[in-house]
Amino acid sequence: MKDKIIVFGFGFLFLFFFFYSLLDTDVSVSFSERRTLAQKPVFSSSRFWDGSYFESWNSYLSDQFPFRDWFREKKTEVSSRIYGMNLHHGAYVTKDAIYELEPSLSISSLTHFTNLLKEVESTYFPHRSVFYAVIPDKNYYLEEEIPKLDYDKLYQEVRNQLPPNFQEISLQDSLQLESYYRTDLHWRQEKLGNVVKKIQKDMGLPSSSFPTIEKTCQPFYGSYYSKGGGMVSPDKLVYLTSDSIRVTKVYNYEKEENRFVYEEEDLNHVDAYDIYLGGATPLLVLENPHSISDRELILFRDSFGSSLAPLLLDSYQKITMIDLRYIHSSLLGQLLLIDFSSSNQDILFLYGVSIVNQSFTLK
Amino acid sequence: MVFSSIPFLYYFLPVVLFCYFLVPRRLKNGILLIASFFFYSCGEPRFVFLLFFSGVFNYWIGKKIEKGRSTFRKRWFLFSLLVNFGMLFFFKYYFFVPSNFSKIFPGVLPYFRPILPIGISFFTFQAVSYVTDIYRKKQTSAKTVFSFLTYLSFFPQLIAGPIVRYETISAELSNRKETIEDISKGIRRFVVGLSKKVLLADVLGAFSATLKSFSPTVLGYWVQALANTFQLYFDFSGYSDMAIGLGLVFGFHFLENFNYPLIASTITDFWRRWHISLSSWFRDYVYIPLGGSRVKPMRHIFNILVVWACTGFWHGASWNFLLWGMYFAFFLILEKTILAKWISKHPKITRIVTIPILLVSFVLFNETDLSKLGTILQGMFFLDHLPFLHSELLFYLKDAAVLLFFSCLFATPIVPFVKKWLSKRKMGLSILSVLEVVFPFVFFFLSTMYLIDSTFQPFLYFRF
Repeated sequence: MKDKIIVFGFGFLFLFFFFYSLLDTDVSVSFSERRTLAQKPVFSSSRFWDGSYFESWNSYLSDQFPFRDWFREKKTEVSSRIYGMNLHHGAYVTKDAIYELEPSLSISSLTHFTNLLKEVESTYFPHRSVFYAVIPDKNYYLEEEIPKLDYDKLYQEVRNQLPPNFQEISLQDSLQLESYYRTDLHWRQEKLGNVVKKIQKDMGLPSSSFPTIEKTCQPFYGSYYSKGGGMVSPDKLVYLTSDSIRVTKVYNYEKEENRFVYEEEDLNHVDAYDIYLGGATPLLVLENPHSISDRELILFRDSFGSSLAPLLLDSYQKITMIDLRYIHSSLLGQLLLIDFSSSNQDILFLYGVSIVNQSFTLK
Repeated sequence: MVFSSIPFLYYFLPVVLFCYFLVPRRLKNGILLIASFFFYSCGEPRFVFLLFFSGVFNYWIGKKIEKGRSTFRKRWFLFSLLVNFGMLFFFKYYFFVPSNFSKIFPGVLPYFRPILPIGISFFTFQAVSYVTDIYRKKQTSAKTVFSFLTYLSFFPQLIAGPIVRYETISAELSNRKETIEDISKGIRRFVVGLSKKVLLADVLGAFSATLKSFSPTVLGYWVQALANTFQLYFDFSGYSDMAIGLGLVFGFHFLENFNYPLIASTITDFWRRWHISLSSWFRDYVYIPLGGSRVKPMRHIFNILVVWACTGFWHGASWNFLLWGMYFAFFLILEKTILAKWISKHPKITRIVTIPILLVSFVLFNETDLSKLGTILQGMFFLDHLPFLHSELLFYLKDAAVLLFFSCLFATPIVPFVKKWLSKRKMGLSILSVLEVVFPFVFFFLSTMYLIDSTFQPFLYFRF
């Protein structure tokens, strides 16, 4: 009897999944994993002989397996329950949030970062007063004992390596754990009130009112979400708007197109964080026609800057956002779009800790 | 395609099983042959012809050896060894010789690295055992080339063993019966292997990879050696379990390949329990022909060194594997000579001492870069002035504590012990019956969950 149950049980199991997957329709995108799923491979003799045709079938059948998301979610739960593990795919997963564990502090990376900043400064705006801020990651605020970067050393090293005309804007006290998404590395725009105030104060700008009109996108699957396997519920993404933000025109140098700060179709991207100025791109110019200020900001930034820049639009008539991950610093002088000679110009370098500690992506 | 993959478990295997049990008896081997070649072509389409050639060649030469006159038999036999080992040497070792030669005399010998056909070491050793047994008149040749090809290419043991000898399954190739008891037993055995691979080996592998990524400590090196040892054991023995289980489903009875090697009391005992099909192959086809132990002491030592140099190199064309083989040869010689009497009197001490010896052996096994190997060994033995541990290591150890506990537990015969204990009790038998039905389904589902969410799934024994 025991043997019959096992044999026929497995027979039924195989048949069920086999026929279910035959009848099931293929899915093209997994939003929770933020990636496209493998589709049925196309045969070619070259792909057959080099083995890639069967590899594609492997990926396709694995990606389109019935109840795949359910299995993935349960796996993390089971792993936590059976093994008591909090580490999943290199991330620390609690029931509330997911934390990416940063590699150890890299002094060579810090040096590369500060050298790059000094080189940009000496090439394009020598001896001028510039500001910089290194944004702590959310691990900084986590009380639990997990392996963390040596933040004190990081900030001290950056401070020591930069010349005196680089003025630090310390943001550590303006943020807290709740300022970050639970399933993503980024800060939440609606929690940046203190950050904006701190930047305005340190850069000598008049304070402005914080946008109050909230638009939301839910669920928002942050970049860490898939590592939590569904143990942590998705976030809510809030994007704030105001009159200034609504009328600001954004020029995307790479795409050679004008857009608005928020284009709601960007919420359909695999990464909904792209709602903030369309996502990763080398150069953006934001112009606020209603601005009462005639000041201009050159913002060297990573993705954290995308959600912050709209909040500074009341303080500036023009914000030029440069992402040195996607454009080489030596090319900046050749772009007519950027004019470093303007006298009413502020310069701000704004980077997250993880970019500073892995700065070789900055060119 | 590997056994522990969604395409194999939920698509390939069901289709093969369906066809196999649907067709009449005379067509069953045909289904297995087609399935095996398809299975191989999923991983290495380019080398399907090599496998086919090996099958046809060894069948042909087996007939020649069997029917040839005594002088010709030897020539045919030597020719078969030349072709089989020549093929293995070209694909697996060709790169090694000139690349090392060029370190001394740069640019003298041109060299390239041929792509290693999956499973070549396994199917070559099977073929050599086949022709050798025929030459020794221990075994008659296969009746048909079709039957021999089915044996050589049989997908459950094709790419990662065990090394199944023709004599083990020759009778079942032509006459076997698939019973519901065997199929059920095969499924349960397969699930045990799958679980070892997916729920333990892969998770241990990910843990070990994490340990590598932060600054070294003495304890960190030892924990990593432990994790690597467990990973290798559960990976390889899991694959053997799956192969044995699949064999049972199709009516074949393979010999055991592992017998809880990590509880071995001595290194000699370890090699009676680890990769049994390989160690017995070397015993029967290298060690005994060299004279085994029934020779003068120095010749005995020489025989051991030859066998373990070969065993090391079988695992890969790299100096660390040779070192690994010689390391075991050293302890085996010690156990058979100076320490023989002492060992028999102190079984408890030797069991404890064997564990660190094994851990170090798997450090040699895992690290192909000799300079890194030196650094690790220095670190392990306090020669590198490393801290004993740091908070980062403690964090990871705490996270993996249960995993390591389960690994220790399942590396021992705890399951057969519990089964035996339960079967002696009245209630125990009923509990056992329920568990034996429920566990395969539960662990199969758990393995599926892990496979679907898997990003870390190396197959360690593929490279052999």
